Amino acid sequence: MAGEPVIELRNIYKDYAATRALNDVCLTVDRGEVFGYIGANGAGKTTTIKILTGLIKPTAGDALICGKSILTSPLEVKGSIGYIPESGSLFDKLSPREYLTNIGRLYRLSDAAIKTKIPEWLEYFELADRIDQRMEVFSKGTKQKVVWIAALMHDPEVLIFDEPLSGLDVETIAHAKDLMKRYAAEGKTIFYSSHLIDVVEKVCTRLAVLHKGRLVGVGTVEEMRARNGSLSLEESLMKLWQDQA
Amino acid sequence: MKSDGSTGVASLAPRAGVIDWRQVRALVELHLKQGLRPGMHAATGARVHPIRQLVFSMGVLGLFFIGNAKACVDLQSFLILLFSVTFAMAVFGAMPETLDSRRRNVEVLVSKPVDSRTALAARTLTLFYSIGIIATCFSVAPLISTHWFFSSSWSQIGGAYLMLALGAFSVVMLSLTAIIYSARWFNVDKIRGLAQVLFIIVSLGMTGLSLVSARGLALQRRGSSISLSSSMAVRFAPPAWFAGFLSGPLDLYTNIERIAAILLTGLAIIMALRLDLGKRYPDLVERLLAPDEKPARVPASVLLVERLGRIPVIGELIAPRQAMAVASMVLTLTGREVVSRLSSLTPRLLVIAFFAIGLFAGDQTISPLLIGFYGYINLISGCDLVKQSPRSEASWLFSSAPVDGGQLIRGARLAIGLKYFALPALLVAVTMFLRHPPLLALLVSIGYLVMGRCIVALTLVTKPAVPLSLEQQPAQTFLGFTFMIGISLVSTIGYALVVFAVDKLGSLGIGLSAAGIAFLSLAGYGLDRAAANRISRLEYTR
Repeated sequence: MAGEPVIELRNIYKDYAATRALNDVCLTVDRGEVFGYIGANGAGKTTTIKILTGLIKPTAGDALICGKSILTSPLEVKGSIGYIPESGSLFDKLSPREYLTNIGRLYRLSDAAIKTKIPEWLEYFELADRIDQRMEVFSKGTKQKVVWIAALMHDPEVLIFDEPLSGLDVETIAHAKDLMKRYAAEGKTIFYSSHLIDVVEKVCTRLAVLHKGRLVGVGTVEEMRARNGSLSLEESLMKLWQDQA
Repeated sequence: MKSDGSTGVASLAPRAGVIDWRQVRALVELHLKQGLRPGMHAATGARVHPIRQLVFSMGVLGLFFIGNAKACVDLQSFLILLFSVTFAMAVFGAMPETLDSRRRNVEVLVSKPVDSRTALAARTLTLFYSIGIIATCFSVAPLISTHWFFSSSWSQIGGAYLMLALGAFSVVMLSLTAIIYSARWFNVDKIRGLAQVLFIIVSLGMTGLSLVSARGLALQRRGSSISLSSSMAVRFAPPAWFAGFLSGPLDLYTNIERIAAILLTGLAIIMALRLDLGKRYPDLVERLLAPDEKPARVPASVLLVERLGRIPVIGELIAPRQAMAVASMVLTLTGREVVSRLSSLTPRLLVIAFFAIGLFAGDQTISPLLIGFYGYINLISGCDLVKQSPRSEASWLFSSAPVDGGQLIRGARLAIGLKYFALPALLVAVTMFLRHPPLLALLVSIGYLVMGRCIVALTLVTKPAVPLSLEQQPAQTFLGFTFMIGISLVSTIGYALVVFAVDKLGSLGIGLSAAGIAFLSLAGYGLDRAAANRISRLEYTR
């Protein structure tokens, strides 16, 4: 249902020793949105995502997913999200079958569901013939496909992606973009963090711009583009960052 | 441009076949700083000091070794034993690099304009430094002890130390050469793995031997001394050549040994600096990077966990689905990963060895205690190993999945129990049933299991970490070693108390012992809860 807030960041602060990584970040993402989260390296994108996924705790503030706080109901929140981390790292001594079977168990999927879903998803990402190979011999892009499957196989309500297209080939990127659009049409919410502005421009409905831990702009792609009277989103964001600097 | 025609910019390409000592220095510095600089513990944030840990752990092993002094008939035998153990430790301990660090090293070497001979020289120097630390920390206390046990002069001790360092370097250099050559025919990972097994066997076996010797010393036993200096087979090996170099007699045979020691050292230096081993070094690097494309086979322990989980009614209690997933991942990874696999293999071999000694040699005192001791060593190493992985950054999975600390603990405990504790517990139970009446044996066996559970919980409370989330550590820390000794002492005292109580108090003793075990079990449960709590609060710090 559009207009229903699914992700809420409430006055989030995060400090690492003397460094303030996030400074009073407030944000709401509605159901069915593909929400872009943009910022330069070190702006605080990954820190925000780590807080949303429960990997780290905010110094102050709270993050809510589907109305549940990550601080007070971490397990419920984690059960409703699918996450692709920036590193894309996985336990590559395992085969895709072993890795995904155990992921399914961690998300409490039934054995029957796991057995059905794994071949389906591997087929979708053209990995069916590599189901029992150790992933250490896979290329980065192939590993990334397995990370995608791990994020999607429990059919989460919210997808949190941190540079999800890293290492993927052109064809798979097209697949992934279609998949995101399809998920959004089904009413799922996608939080998409990247510094690749052209991809964000094509995929996202709305976006937020982060600069040195602060949100400096939130709006639709058109609004952001028009904001500085620029022709492209990239130019507009460059101006925005320069103004902040 | 300068007057001599040069541009003033240093050439990037080194001269082929010539050692560039500036590059050597840079590489040595990189390796040593990466490996030995104090760092931060990934889970607890505590400061970790690799050198301090090495000094302590090797120093303690050296102190244990002194137990052998009284058991040796003469200084020469003691020195041969000391040199043998030190050389073995240096040879096998010089190689335990984790996959991450190996890849890092390979990337540094392959991608930079470093001549292979320069790379090898840097590797040799780094090794020499590492060997120096291991050899010094381990041997200083035993060497000093010879002043009292064998009336050695201080100059003799200094000379022995010098020969020990030279000998260790030579032997390590030769073994490195052998590895580089054999990389053509054998899997380097397996050679390294074997070296690690041997390293742990030498260090743990030496501890066992020292304990036996120390017991003989404590009981004032005489006559069962170690005599190595007269054995021709022993004197044919390099430790004897270096051990007797300065302290041996001036007869023909010892002089031949001296010449052999000089030749060996010279050969090692030539190999390090002159022989064209560099041609083979890229082979080694290539083989290190070669992928293994064989289809994955599910480890037996994982199949066992899955079978346990499928047992009607109790299956879900023994292995709940999430705990089963955690245990399966841990068991699969530790089963396929060289460092973990070998670290767990050695104590198991020693447990079996001492079980066999107890069974066939009729040793009723030391062997059962050593089975228990190595069982706990296996368990405590297991507790460390399930927290470590060469892909530790991939543990984001456990932090982002809807799994609570309790399930993580159960999964880790299941993996530890099956892989690291089941065999020693079984052998302890068999030993106890062979030695004591059934009821007492049952009590002691249950006590051992309960103690094992408490140890797992205690290690998780004191050093909480999400499974597979820490970088691999090739060696046991000093704290871990002290913990092992402490636990073994407590366990031995507990065992003695139960036997004493049942023997002297009969039924009352059985009741008291059962109550004690029940209390220990409760304590284990409490510790489990505390550990789950601590793990739930951990953040993903990668």
